[in-house]
Amino acid sequence: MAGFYERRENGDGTVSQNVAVTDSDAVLPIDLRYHGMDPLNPLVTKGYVTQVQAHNATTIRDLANSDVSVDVSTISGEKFVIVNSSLNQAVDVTLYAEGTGYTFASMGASKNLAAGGIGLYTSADWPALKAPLQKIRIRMKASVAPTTGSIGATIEGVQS
Amino acid sequence: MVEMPVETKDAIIWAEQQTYTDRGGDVQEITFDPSDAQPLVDKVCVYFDDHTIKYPPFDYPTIRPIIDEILAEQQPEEPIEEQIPEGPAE
Repeated sequence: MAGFYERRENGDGTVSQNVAVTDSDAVLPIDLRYHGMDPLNPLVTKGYVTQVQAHNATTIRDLANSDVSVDVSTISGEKFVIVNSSLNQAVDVTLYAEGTGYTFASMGASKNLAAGGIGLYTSADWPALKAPLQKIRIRMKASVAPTTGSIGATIEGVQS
Repeated sequence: MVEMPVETKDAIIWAEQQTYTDRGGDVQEITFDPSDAQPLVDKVCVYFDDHTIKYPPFDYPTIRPIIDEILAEQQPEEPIEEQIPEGPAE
């Protein structure tokens, strides 16, 4: 193979090779979702399952609506909503679909989550959780103002 | 923007030194891990209540800048590089 190409050895034993790239854009197969993680709203991906954060330890202390809207376009099909409450009062959980051309539309009747309860909701609770949605808004509302605790909500599903 | 009480930093430092009992009944240490923020926020509220400090509704992202400040203060100082005297010219 002598003469097929020229090795140019450096003094330290390494080998240099010049590479010329002309008139070309380098395209790398990088999925930026895994590089643009927001530490405040963690997007966790394990295997085929991805998780987006809505309410992140929100301390509800009045009777106002506590709304968080999250992008669920990274989830394909069926979505699973988990609400974890350490509040000392019950809250009503309502889901709204959001997308281009509509502000938000209710996905159905609200669910009451008891004080300190954990709610695991599927399409059996809100059939639209099967739909390929752009965004979901989660609304928490108390009927009696809580005085301790907080609430967290995440949405999980198979990544698209 | 939510205006937090001036005692918030003290509350966070205290909260991070506490433990909580998880839903399985196990005692867990409270950390600054954003994926497990609820125990920390709950303890911050306990500090406020115990000290009769009024606070507005808030969430983990609200106090995250203060947590970052605490973490920055806890970082060990950069070691001073030792000056190596130049050897005799060959």
